[in-house]
Amino acid sequence: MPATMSERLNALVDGELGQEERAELLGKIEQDPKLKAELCDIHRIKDLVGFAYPLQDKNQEIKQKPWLRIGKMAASLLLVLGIGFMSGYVSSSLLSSDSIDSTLLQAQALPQINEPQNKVIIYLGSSEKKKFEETLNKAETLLKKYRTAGTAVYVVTSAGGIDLLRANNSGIQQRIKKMRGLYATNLHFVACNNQIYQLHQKGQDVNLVDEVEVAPSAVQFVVNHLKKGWRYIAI
Amino acid sequence: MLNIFRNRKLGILLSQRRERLYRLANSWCHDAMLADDLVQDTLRKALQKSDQLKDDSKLDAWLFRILHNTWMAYLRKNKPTLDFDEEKSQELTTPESLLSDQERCERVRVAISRLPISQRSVVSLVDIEGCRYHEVSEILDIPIGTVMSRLNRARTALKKQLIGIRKENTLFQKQDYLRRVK
Repeated sequence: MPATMSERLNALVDGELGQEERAELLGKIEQDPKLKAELCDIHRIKDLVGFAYPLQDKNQEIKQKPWLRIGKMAASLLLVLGIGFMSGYVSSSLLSSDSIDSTLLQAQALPQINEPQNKVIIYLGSSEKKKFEETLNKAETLLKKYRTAGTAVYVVTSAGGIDLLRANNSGIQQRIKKMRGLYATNLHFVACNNQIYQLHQKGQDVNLVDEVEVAPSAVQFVVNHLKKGWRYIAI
Repeated sequence: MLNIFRNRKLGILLSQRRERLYRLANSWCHDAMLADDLVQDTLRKALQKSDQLKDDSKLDAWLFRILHNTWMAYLRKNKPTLDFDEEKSQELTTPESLLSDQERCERVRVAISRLPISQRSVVSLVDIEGCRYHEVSEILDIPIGTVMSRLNRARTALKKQLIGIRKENTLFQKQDYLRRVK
């Protein structure tokens, strides 16, 4: 029995389609907002399921009292977070010396758990305009050079970086739309819901450009992907 | 002599995979003690049946298959109860923005625990362990078409439970804070 459209969308998200079938499906998705929405939901569910089961010490989970367990998990998360962002900082320093394309080569050379070849997260936490452009330029450079099946770039924003994805900057907005049109499911823009919530609490309206996806926590999103072997670039 | 070296090597490889096996078992049974028992049993069987593993590159899939068979055997002996669902059902009414990461994790786990076992097995292997469809097909001994349909049904059910709830969040109603790619 042939696969249904939903099953094919799942297969696309899981990198299970061949080049030809993938191109055909991407063409259909481009024409159909409902398919785009469904594709986004599948991505979101996949991320949430992965997020819910981080690797951790089973002995702690079994033996410790719940309150102690939660405290220690938070501490370990912070530790992982620190290491993750520090390694990202190091990666970023190396990458900024004209060697973006070496990132993906390095990614292929590293031992990986979930075949995250050609998968990169670009993290932006600053509202500086030149950093906006640097972020988009880096994403575009990676996608141009490695436009193959399975290549994925997530531009993840938090703190001031979320301004990149707000709808009040028409120039940037147009560029994001254009890039999404060119690279479709290879490129994603992610905003941090915690940051949106904080801005709302301060009475600020947050209108994001249409192409943006929202993660519960940018930090957790990055950590989650680092654990799966994604490469991390901090701007 | 060769067997001794092989078993020592296998022992190291198994110990390196222990946490992943535990995570997968926990995603299936949602019981820390039981997950630990299943992993212990799986590792014991793996060492006993090490001769069956002809290709070391397929170690993960082989272990997942043993784990799954061990779990199925457990289920045949002990019918699953609904205690977990009943106990946790209240949590799904809380707006997601008010949840901590730990609570959010718990909510997703509850949603997964409500899936039929056949769908839970597939979605865990694909989304937690990153298995390819053909690997899931081999591990669970089902056709790839069945893997695809179960995965689709699982994600659709999870979407109803998890994404649907986000839209009820009153804090962000005016701003439609959960955007979709258009």
